[in-house]
Amino acid sequence: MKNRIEEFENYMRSSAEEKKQKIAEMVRDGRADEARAVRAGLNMYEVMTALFGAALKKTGEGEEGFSREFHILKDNVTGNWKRNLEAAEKHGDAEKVMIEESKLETVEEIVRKFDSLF
Amino acid sequence: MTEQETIGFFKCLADKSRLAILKSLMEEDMYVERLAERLGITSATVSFHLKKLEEAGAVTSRKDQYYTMYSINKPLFGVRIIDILGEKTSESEAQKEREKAYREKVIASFFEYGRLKSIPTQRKKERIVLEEIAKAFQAGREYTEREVNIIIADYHDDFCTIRRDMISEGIMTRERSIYRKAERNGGDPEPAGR
Repeated sequence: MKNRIEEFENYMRSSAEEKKQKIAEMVRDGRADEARAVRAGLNMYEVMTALFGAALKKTGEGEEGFSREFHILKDNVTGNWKRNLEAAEKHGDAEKVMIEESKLETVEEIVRKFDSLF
Repeated sequence: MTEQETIGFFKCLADKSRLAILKSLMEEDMYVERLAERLGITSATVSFHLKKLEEAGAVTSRKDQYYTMYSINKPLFGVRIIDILGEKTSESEAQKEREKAYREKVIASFFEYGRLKSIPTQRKKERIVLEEIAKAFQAGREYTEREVNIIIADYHDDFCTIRRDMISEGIMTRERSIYRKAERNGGDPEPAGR
């Protein structure tokens, strides 16, 4: 379990670093507006790391219930973003759609990694 | 083109993806998904850029069966930059543009999807917000207090404060419990975001 926790934390750190580099590249490349959406995605590493820590704290390092707790916390948080996305789509708010999609896509990537480990 | 529109137009063009979209549209009219596939960016991102380009007047859109087709606004791109630079803007026009831009900024900050997020504390901003809400009232028509409350409640739950402030700002008038929109606000277009 310890090794997998470490692997997940390393994944989060390296992925966040990659995103930071991508943002810098996009800004240099004259794509500052799109970079804003990627930046919203970057924040997800911090949010999901906090949820990961909270789930660990609640269930301890035992396997039992840890994954379920993480998913419950994740669903609570992403539920709002999904509603924001739906509202933005309904009202044709293209900028918000782009930002909310970026957040949710990043969360999906993180959850895929989490599920492969726990 | 007004000065503000010119700035908006050039700002809009200063983006690699938007330039790529315009270059694609030079070849032929396209819809969002086609552009996304061609440029390797998501449909949401393409939609975002197209909206910006449309607002700047660089592209136009039309419904074509199931799709919205986008076209480049060739006449606009045919204007010589030197002619734009030669355009004269009077001080009063510039002032009007600044006021319009400020008004749009306040409306964009305080409204979300047609709902008022909060009542501004600054009087100048509140007046703009109240005038925006007043667009939902017809000039010359009489309203009961209940009708006024129902209309304002579409925008914000604190309809009492807004109703009272509309009276004190002279945006609405009240006489023997009957409300009317003050004359100078008549003929306003549909409120933003509705």
